[in-house]
Amino acid sequence: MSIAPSGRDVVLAGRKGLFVIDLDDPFAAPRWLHHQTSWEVADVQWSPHKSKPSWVVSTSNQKAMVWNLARPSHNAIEHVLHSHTRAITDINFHPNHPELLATCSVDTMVLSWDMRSPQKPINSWSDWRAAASQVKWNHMNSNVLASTHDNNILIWDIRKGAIPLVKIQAHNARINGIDWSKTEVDKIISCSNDMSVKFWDQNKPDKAVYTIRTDFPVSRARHAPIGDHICGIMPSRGGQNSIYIVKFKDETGESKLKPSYIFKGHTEPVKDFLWRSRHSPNTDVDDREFQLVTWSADCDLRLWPIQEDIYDNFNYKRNQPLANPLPDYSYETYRREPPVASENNLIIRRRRNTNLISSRNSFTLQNDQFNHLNWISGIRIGQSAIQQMDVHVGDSTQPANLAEEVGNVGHKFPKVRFERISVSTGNLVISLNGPWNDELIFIRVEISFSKDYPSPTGVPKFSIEETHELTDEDRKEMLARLDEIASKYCSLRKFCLEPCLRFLLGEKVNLDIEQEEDDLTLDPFSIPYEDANASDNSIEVSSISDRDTGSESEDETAAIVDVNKPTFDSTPVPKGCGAIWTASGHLVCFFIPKEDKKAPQQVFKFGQQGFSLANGLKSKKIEHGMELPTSANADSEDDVSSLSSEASFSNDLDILQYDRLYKTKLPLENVASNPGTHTSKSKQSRNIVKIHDFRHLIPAKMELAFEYRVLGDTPENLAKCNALVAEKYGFKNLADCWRILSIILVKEVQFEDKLDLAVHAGFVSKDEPTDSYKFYWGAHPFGGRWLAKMIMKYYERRSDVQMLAMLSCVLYEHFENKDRPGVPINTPYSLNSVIPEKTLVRQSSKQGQVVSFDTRSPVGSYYHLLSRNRLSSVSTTSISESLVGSPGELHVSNRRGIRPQSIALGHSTPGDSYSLHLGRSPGAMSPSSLSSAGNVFSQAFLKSLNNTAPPPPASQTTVPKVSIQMINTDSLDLYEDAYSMSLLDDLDTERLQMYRAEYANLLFCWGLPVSRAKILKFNHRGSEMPSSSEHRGEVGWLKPVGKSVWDSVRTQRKCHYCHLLSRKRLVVCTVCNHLLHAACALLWWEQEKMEECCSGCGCRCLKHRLREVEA
Amino acid sequence: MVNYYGKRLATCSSDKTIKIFEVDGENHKLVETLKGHDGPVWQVAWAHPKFGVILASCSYDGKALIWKEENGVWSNIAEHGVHQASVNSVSWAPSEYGAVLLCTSSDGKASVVEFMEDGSQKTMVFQAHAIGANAGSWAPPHKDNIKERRLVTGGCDNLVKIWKFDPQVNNYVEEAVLAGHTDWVRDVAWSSSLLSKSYIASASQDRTVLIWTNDTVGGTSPWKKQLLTEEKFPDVCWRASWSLSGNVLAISGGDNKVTLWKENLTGKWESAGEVDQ
Repeated sequence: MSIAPSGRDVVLAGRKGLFVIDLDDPFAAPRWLHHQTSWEVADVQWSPHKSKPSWVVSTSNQKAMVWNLARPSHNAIEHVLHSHTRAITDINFHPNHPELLATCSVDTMVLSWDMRSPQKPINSWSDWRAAASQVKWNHMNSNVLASTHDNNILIWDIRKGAIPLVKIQAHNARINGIDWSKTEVDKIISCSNDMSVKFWDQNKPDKAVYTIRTDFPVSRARHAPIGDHICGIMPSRGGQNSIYIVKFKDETGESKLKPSYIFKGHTEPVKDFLWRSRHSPNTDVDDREFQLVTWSADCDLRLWPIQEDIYDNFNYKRNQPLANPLPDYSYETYRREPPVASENNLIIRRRRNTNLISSRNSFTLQNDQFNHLNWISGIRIGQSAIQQMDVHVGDSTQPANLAEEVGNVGHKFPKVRFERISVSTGNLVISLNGPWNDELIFIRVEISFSKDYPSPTGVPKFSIEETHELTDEDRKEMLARLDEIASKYCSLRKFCLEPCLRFLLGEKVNLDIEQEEDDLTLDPFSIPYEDANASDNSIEVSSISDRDTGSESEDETAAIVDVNKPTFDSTPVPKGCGAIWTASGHLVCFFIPKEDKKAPQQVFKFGQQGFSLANGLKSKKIEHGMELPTSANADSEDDVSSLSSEASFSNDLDILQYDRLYKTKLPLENVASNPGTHTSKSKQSRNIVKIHDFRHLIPAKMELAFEYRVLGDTPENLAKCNALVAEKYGFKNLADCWRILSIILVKEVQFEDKLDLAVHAGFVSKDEPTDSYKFYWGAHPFGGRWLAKMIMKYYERRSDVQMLAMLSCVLYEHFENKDRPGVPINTPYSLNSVIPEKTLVRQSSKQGQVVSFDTRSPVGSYYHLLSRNRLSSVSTTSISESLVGSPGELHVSNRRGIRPQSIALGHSTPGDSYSLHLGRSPGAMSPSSLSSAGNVFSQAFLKSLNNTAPPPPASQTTVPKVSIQMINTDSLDLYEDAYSMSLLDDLDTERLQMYRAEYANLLFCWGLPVSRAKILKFNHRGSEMPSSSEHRGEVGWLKPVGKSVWDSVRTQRKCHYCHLLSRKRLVVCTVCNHLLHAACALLWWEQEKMEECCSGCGCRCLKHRLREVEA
Repeated sequence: MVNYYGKRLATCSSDKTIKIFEVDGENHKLVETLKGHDGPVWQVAWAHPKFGVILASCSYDGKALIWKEENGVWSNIAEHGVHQASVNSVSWAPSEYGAVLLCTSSDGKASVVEFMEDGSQKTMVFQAHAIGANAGSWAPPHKDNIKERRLVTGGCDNLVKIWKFDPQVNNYVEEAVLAGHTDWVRDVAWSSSLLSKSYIASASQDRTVLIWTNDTVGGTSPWKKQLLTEEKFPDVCWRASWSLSGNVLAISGGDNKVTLWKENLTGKWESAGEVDQ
């Protein structure tokens, strides 16, 4: 950045070229001199000489470009200075000779140039060792210049080429800037990355006169033009992005930074600072006024006023007589293109009341032109600019000035073209298409605003361009109406541009402004409009920041709303804040960006736990907060020094913040007590999306779902297992529930006094349920229905789908069992019943025929091993019980008892071991023997299955094929009924299915498809299986119906005798549709004397009438 | 305006764009910025993954756009432009119904559009609310009878309406009108959990949230209404969202707070948490 000596224009250089901004008319779009380079511009400098007021020099890698702004932009490059071999790092106009300038470069060379012969440098010096970073001419002695190379300052004389006059080993790190004193010939300031600023006398190169220690690396330290021995210090980073003003008169030694004034306000490091001064022409007193101009990486160009107290502080006394007259520069802007530059002689009122101008380059580039509106809306003057900095929004109730109004309105009406905007003169030319006389016609309006707009006396003047589409009457009517609207608004000191535009666009404008406002203030729901102010605007403003429009008035918003109402634009105000649940129990929230948070936010975090499944078990605790700027930010960051960021910088950027804690095994116990604090880096204008973990509120737990089991074991074991799982994760309630269930679900109780039987059972391992006793809760209130029902009801109230679904699964199988006892439940006990599974596999592979369970699918047959055990023992028990209970009906019960058995052992020989046992059992009346019968039964059964040990001869010989089917189990006796009474009987099956479906859905979202499939198995309707699994085919003769014969003939076309394609003479059987060549038919029927169809279909074709056809 | 499925987060904004973020553990990155709307984008919704990676968005420009990702490339695959005014909400039907999208618009209409396999669309439009329909939500699917489809809408006429699909007229017909709010209804949400009752939450600018319950799953009996809180919220209520399971309700509003609510065992709604910015 550099400022013109007149102090009017500022030139900014970037990779897209030069931008010339008129500081007196910041609303005018900057002039843009295109010069696309891929290198950052190291420096740009405006010629300080009166004779060459339009000259600017900038760098472009190893070249220096000399621009003449008096020439048209496309042809403004006067000279290209090309002699360096590496990138130029600094350029400096000679303070006394307008034609001389010096450049220095990474190639260690320092060159000086004469503009009159720009082909090659006139002088060169080199350090040879280190790249040059700065070059500065001495202000007093025109033969002396200084350059910096790494840590050293070299002072050269142009008359002495090879060796520097003085070499100062100044710093311990790279020097960033030097500045000669303007009043003392041998004084120089240097600043460096070693966090110090040093003041040197070139005659004493060994030791600095004065050293200031800072706590930030210093990128520039420059003398201030005001006062005596004042310098400005600019940090290259840190230092609160401020400019520090330091007095160093008579200071010696070393000290800390003691700023006498701080210019603070930028949000990013300042890239450059300049002093802008103005004085009245031809004065002999020093009446200069100063402003500080800063240009920062936050893309703000700010002008800082220097108040009187600062002048006093700096010992700067205005209106002192001057020894030398100050040079007068013509106060001209080079912002305009030269052809129009001549018009620019009109006096432009100096804006003395301007406190501060901050021009935010929130413009976008459109076809090589700035979007003027965006430029304007990026500019803030005075109050609103300060507001923007201090982040207090809502105090101002009006757009601060016309420019802001134009900016606001312009973005609200994207279809309205602002053909000319001249804020400084108050002229606007607007063109739009408005609905008049039932058609859209083109309207161009010129509006001129007076200085005291908006006020009762400052009503803007409208004039509408005459076009053929617009009748005179209409035009007059429009003008009258516009005047009416404008004067109405202006009389209330309100800005009237928007209602006028709305009127032109054909919307109705209500002029009862005051009354409506009263209504609105009475209306309690006006609050949302206020709150939504920023976002409301951003709807229409779209690409422009909330921040820009954030200061818009409540009144204006109210007016918008009111204007909206008659047109029934019922689009609700956008939701500024919202929360949406995710499938995993996280809450995604977004909020209205709060603008009044200067202090780092303390965000209370609820307990956070691993977000993704994969990371769920990480033991690290990661606190993680980061900004995720949207593309706009990214774009402008790498383009930071140029004005030309593609997207508007102040666009509402989303920050995506995630911060979560990853925890291990005990995730939810300490959930609420584990607040992580997080310091948000958010800027005020950004929307924040946060993801909070609220899984502790959701009864369904993902980690439980990981380990819960529904299949693969007996229900009581499953329940026990699940209880352990729940306990492991600290859900005591759930664990208790599972425990109770596991007790209810116990079917087989081991009896101590049956040990002898266990011994009797010999080779069977003790774990096997051979020596167990069947035990059922039945309708007992502690078990069975009542409890199950209450448990289900409880979890229903708790909305715990997970528990509901799990319970319904674990309690499920009885139901199935009862209904279709012979058919295996569709519960594959495959997971943990490893041993029987293996034996089964072995058996079926080795002996194929030994165990065949119907014609079930393998899935079904896994089940058999477990369930059969139980089924068979069930049946024996029931038989015995029935015998005990009703001895009188021995015969009947016997018959009933036998029947299932005989069916169960369908193919077994009558004399096999099973029948033997059973045959004995009716006679034995003691329960023990009965149970022993049952035990023996199951032993033998197991034997037959446990093929590992040498198989007992009985099973080997007599059980080649076992097919067990239980029929009429429900018509068996009481205990059987009690057993098969479903715990879930009372509950609606459909509802249970719904639970399971819903839980399955959850599991799916959690990424547990296998668990989901397991759950869904229970939803599969078992009853469909037996019937629908049969393939039914219809076998029969095809009925010869008219054309169908021909259809088939056409499709077959092959003689069934010779298998050749038959085209011509055919014989077709009318019944079986098989065809023959006429000749083949003769052979087949006549010579071979065959009676059946030659296709082998069995049809006796000759019995039917054959049809002989021509194909 | 934010929606989430699995490992991706989609946000939409009044800057006319939709941004897709990839969320993987603690990392997240901007994957894609979707541009295509001519106005602020109000809402986005992910379709069920069985249809692919599909996102629906709706905007002030009166359109609903369907975006699809294939091989990492996002493209706009369909446009739904039957509305005359701003489309305020989009919501995918339960996946059992197919790729069916419900849109509500400021033109007072709601539309249900089904995207067929062959790329064609089947659209039903019905007049829902005078002045404007602000939000819509689907009832969870009825297990046995997939044809029995219901949805709920809320609008600027301060009403919440239940709609049922009528195969005879091949459109949705009004089944129940739930009156109770005194200002615009901004959001309605039908709880997806199929527990003992059906729950609908409606958030309104009258600073109240009503919970509508129905004991029958089908919703044939009259709906009962219950105020979520006796006291009004400090500011308008904008959004209501049910958790996928467990019936935890999240309400967000103009006070820039998100509050969570859970029904206790006695049927009262209790605060379960609060999120501030």
